[in-house]
Amino acid sequence: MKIFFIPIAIIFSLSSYAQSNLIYKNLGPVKIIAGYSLSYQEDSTNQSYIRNEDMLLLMGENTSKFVSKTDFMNDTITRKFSTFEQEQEYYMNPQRPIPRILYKIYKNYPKGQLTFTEYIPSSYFSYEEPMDLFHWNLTGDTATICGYKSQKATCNFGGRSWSAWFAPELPFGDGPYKFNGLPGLIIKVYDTHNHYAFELKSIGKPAKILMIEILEEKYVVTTKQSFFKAQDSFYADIINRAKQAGGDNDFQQNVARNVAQRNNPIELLRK
Amino acid sequence: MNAPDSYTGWGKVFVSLISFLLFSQLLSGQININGQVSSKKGEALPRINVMVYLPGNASLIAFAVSDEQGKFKTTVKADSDSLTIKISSINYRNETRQILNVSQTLQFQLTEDVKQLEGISVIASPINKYGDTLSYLVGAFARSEDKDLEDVLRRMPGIEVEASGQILYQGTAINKFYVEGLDLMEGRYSLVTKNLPKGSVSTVEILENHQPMRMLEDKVVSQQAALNVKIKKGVTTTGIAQLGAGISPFLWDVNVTPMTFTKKFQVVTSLQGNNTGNDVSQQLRVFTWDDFKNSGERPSEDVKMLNVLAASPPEIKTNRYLDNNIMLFNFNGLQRIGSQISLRTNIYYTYDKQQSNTSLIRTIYMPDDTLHFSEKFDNQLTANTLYAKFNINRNVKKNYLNNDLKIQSGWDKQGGTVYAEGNKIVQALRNPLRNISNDLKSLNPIGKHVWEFRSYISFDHSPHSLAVIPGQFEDMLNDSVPYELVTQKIDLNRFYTDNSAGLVLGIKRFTVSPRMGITYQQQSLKSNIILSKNDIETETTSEFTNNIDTKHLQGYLLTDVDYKLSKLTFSGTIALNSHKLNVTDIKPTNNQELTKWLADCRISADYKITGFWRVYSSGGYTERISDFNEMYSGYIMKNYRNLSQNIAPVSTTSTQMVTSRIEYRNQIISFFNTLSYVYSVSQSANTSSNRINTDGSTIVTNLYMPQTSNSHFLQAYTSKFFSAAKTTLSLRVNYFQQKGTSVVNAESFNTRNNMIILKPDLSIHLTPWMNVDYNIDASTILTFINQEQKSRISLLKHNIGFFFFPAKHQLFNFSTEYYRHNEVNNLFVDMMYRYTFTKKKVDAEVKCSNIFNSDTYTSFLANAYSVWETTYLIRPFQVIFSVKFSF
Repeated sequence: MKIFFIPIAIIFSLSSYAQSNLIYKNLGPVKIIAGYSLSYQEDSTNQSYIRNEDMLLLMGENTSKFVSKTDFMNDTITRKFSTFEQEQEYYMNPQRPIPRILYKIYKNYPKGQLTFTEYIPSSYFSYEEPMDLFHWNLTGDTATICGYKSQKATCNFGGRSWSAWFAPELPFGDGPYKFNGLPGLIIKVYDTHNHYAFELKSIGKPAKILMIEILEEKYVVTTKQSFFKAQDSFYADIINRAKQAGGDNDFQQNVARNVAQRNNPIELLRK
Repeated sequence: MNAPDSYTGWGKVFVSLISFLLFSQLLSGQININGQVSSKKGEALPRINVMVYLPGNASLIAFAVSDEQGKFKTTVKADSDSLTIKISSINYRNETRQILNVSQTLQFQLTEDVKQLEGISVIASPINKYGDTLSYLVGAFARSEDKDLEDVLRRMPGIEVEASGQILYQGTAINKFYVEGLDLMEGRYSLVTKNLPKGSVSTVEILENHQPMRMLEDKVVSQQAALNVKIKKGVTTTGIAQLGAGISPFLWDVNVTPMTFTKKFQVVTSLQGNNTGNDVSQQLRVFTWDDFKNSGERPSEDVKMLNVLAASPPEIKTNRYLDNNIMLFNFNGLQRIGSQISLRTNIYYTYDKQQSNTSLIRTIYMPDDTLHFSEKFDNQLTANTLYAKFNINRNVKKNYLNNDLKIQSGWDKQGGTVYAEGNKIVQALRNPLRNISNDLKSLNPIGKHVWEFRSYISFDHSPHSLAVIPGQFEDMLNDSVPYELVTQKIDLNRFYTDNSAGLVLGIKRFTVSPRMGITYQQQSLKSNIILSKNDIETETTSEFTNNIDTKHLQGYLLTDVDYKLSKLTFSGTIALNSHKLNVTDIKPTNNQELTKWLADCRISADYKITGFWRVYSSGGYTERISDFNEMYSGYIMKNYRNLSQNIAPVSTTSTQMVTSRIEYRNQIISFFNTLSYVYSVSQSANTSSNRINTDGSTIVTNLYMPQTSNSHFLQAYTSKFFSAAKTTLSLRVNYFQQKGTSVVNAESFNTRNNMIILKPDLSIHLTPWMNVDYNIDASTILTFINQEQKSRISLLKHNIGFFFFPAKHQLFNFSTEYYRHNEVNNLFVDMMYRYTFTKKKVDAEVKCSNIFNSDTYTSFLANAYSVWETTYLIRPFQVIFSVKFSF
């Protein structure tokens, strides 16, 4: 009975292969790039399970984009390839850098809103949220961080209590993740349990002209709550998703074990 | 509150505390500051920071950010006579104004100042830093409890090691793992890191932004780092070992992998063997995308024109049924010449002795007759394969060159005994194969584009012989007189070469990738049948011999075109092939010539209607020349009961195919649905005419007789996850139908096969440490001859899988399969328990297979007018205990 399926499997796997030639919409040039390190505890029950990822905040005249550095470089690299072979080699390489943080956040796009996009296999999701999410309380605490005089502000967001240090010398009302609305760039922000901590590592102008771009995809445009529902269901239903993707029993069990350790999202309020 | 501007330490805390106490106790004194910010031209300025300070104090007490109308509003609660307002932004000059601590409305007119950004002190720009090499001295990081390199790597800042053994630097996987600057393992480096003792390593180097292809160094910036291990002593020998043993009968499983590193030369060797049904030779096969893409056009590597009749392997795991005795030796070596060229060698040798027992019931349906044949196979295979691959890689700035030379030699022996209709027939096949091939790939910049050149050459020689006792087909070969032995001999020499050049052009939303090339194939086929009677060998007539030379020249131009919009992607492929074929037969009447242009085309569209709905559709047309290996005018005995010839002229087969798929995938409610359909129709000029004798032997003659065959395949899949119950329900339905024309015993008739499969599945993932899966596989196969149903087979299988992780280092797995067929219950139960001692790096595993000692497994296959029911003898109840450790 097996013989009937082989050609069909090949047809489907080939048709969904071609990834090249993505189309981007230009939101304007980047003026300043801030590099942040993110360290986060993926498993709330295991303090030694700390993940690290380098993040970039690309700031333009009116909008900004917050993205994983690996993700951003993957985009940049694959778009430079001049032959299809190079691209295939890149995608087929098991050593290819794979970002762990897949979301991208566009602030003040559209005006007064932020757009959050993320890929949950196999769809691109996007939702909008108002920019003024944060009700900052200023504290009198000041310190010099990364060579910048900074002041601390606190807020509650997504079920966590956050402390943010911002530098009035850097007159950008922006920051990592969705954080914004302080009169200076947020250079350090962390929650009280220290499960998530963003810290400025570098800041400077782009060496050559760089654009803030958003992928023109057929996004599933939804609300934050629905996005969380899709994300939580993906983790809860992981064995079945792995099976659909063609993974064998060992693969399914491994994926399920790994996913069980991802129990500590940045926004704890899911409904 | 007139604290100095720069205070430190306790003073700051003290002031903060005081200001906190003051602010919280002041009930009155709250003022509102409103205002507007505009440019000198009068334009409203949004996103301008308005900051409120106490005079002389660096600590902000209130702030506002102007809105789209340039307006701002803030509340200040301060015990001070006056306040300092600072205005800051990116594009305008900063301003400071002193105001009285009373509610008021302020107007600011800002002066443009593009230089504002220059004032930012830059800290290492994140994207433009590259090329650093970091060195870690192993002695400085290693602790006494660390054993191997991996343990020490975990302690080095910036380096992470995943559970799989994958190494990350700054959260990104490394792209190369070198030992002394050499890439021996090609990505399979965990064998080294897990087994190289820490004492042998002096330094670990991280090469940041490492681009392994030097030609792309300036073109493509790598964000990945490479890791280089420097060895302390000259020679280090380490390795891993795995030993396993079990019963009924005695079972063994061994894996010893020692390795040696010197600075000039590196070797990893592996010796593995078992009789537990694990085909370890599978792990030696590495399939890359390149192999997959090119395999379609190249002649297959092993020629299987003759065979000892055996059932095709069942769709269950090999370790359920395979009775083997395998030994494998593998060698990987690398030598570097100068700084540009590396030579890599991979040599392996496998020896495998397999035994299989199967029985086959073959039913042949014809319009007015049905034939049943039953056979029992008792087969032995002794396979010897020696494989060597030599790789040269030149990796310089100007270009990139990679050459693989492969030499393969196999000398397999197969023996089989068939018990059919009360007769015992013994077969012996020798099918040695010698193959040499060379695959060259290079990338060269020509003008603005990078061209890719490929050249593939292969040559193989297969002198095969099949001997059958007693002699078969006596009515055709020996005037209907029984005789002792028949031997079919074949000698096939093949040469094939494919040379091409291609590039990719991107023009706005189009991508065009043209490639042109030339292939040439030349082969000579000689065959004859020898009869042995009373130890005297006699040759058969020319009707049973072949001496054919085939030359085939093909020029091709292939173009892929892609066009992409955000919702819609079109892609198309057009191939033009010019063929020139020349067949020279020793019987000149069979000489043939063919000059022909053939075209292939394919077009597809992929449309995402919304985020949930997606439609895909494609259509294609292909033309192919008949397979040269199947062109022989003299008869060849392919197996003990098949005698074939092909006297039809060379022809082409054309196939049209249409594929459509519609998807609804809603992840928010976890509801997934796919419906897909494939229709294909093919027209060929030739049809094979089968003459089936009463003993089941078949004489096949390929004739000129145009025919059309078609097939439909329909698949529906639906799945829904119920989050409250942590349960997924899914259903898969497949429907397959194929129609064609067959000629059996000079009678032409229509055949149709239908297959329906229903597969409901219930999967419950109750806790992270326990999950259960239950599914049913119900299939029905129908065979129709001239629209009349001749056969119906139904099978219902139940599968249960249970996984349980009692603790972090333990896994318990229970799986069972049950079906009932022909009044016989078949129940297969396997259990596995694994315990991992992480500290000592020892894995202990107990595996019980086939607990109820079921002895057979049955599967069905239907094609055109015949149905095969195959029963496999499977491995009995067995227990294996194995331990894996490193030394």
